[in-house]
Amino acid sequence: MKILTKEDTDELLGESLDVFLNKASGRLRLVGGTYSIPPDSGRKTALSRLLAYMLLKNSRICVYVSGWGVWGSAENLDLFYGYRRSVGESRPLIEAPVHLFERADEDAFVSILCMVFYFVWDGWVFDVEGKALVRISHDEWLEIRADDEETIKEFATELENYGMPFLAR
Amino acid sequence: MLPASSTPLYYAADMLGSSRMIFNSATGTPCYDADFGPFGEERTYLSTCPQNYKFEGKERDTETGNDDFGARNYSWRFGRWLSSDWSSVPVPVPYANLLNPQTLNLYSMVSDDPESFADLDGHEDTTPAWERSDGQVNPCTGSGGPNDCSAQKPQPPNPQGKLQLSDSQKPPQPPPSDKDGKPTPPPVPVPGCPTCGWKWNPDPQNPRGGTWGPDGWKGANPPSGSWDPDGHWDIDKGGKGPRDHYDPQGNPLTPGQAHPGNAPAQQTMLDRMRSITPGPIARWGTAGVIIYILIDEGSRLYPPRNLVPVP
Repeated sequence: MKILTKEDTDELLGESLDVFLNKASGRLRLVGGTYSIPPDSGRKTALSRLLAYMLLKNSRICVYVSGWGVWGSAENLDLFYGYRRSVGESRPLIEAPVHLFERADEDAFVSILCMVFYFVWDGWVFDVEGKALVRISHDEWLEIRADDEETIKEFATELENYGMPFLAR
Repeated sequence: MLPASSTPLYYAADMLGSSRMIFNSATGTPCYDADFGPFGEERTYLSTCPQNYKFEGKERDTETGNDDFGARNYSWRFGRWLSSDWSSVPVPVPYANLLNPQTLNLYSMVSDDPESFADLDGHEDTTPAWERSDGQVNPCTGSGGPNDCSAQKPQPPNPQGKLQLSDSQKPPQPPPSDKDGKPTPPPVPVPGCPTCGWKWNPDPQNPRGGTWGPDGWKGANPPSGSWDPDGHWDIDKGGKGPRDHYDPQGNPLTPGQAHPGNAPAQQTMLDRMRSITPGPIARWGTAGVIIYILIDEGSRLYPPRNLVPVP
């Protein structure tokens, strides 16, 4: 796992991160609808593993933590920063909000994503090739977008098997 | 209004904010009486106290006749803005609601529906005039504060050249502030402590700049509130019960209402069309329509009309 600033990410993507996300949101197709994130922490862990299984197949994946501090009673920044320090990262989230994962970083990916879900943060999960995008909201919903029909069907099937509830479709 | 070295004038405005009558406070008699066409054409019946605050209450330039709405100037002769709409943040189409194609025209006045809508600041806004309240109006009112439009730089109307139905295209809404530009607290009581007031706790590490917390709270999990740039308040009840959302007036919102871009209309039209797959209902529905047409048309042909006795 590497932890990047937004400027590092712009360089990695070849364009501004915000523009990249904006373009990808418009270009990629929605899987199913808007899903409610289950409130149960155990199911959040399972959901993180499911996303790791689906996303970390071929490409490098980024987890961009875009919002925190909204639900103060739900978050534990000490735990999050403690985890980041364990991988040698001492910069605060405001400076380095993007986490880049290779295929071998599945455990780290699940850990970071779990904390995004547990602490009810805003986040974006995307592959650097722009083929898949997950938007996680502090309002406890998420959306998944992908580019090809096969991936969309696969995502939809996996989420259905998982029992992911819809907020809107 | 108190003109320099003159007696106060009292304005009577219609629901769009246009000055329809002006009364002289000294005599109590009307000194200005006018009607306005839908796009701002003035028809004056009485004008003994000339004034410039006319269509939708905006100042009309005496030389050009154009109205100054803050972000842009408007020409009532054309019924169009003199420049395209712009946003302080790069978005595909500024202030557009892609569910309403009228808003894609960057020069049209309130989506070409000026009898229902009033423009407050020169940016496209389709909030009906009667639904607006003073608490959320003109984002360009502050001077030097967060709502000062002069501090915003115009952006090209469609920098990416692509349309999308993501709510990320919605420009961030600045936090509510008072006349001096000071942020105002959430319009709801502090959860779990009705006697507490809200206190601003700045935090440079927080993307929202900080949170509102209770003044004088004692306990482990203080409630908190913060302004969501999507245009609503997020209220954390200190871990008790569900997390709440409120509109700027303090009315509760569901998560779907708080983020309308992610409510059911969030899917693109293409997504929705793709989701309509021919299933049994569609097939039987089509067959039903064909059978209905055959029976209906057949009944017109048989028996022949010229054989039916006229009563």
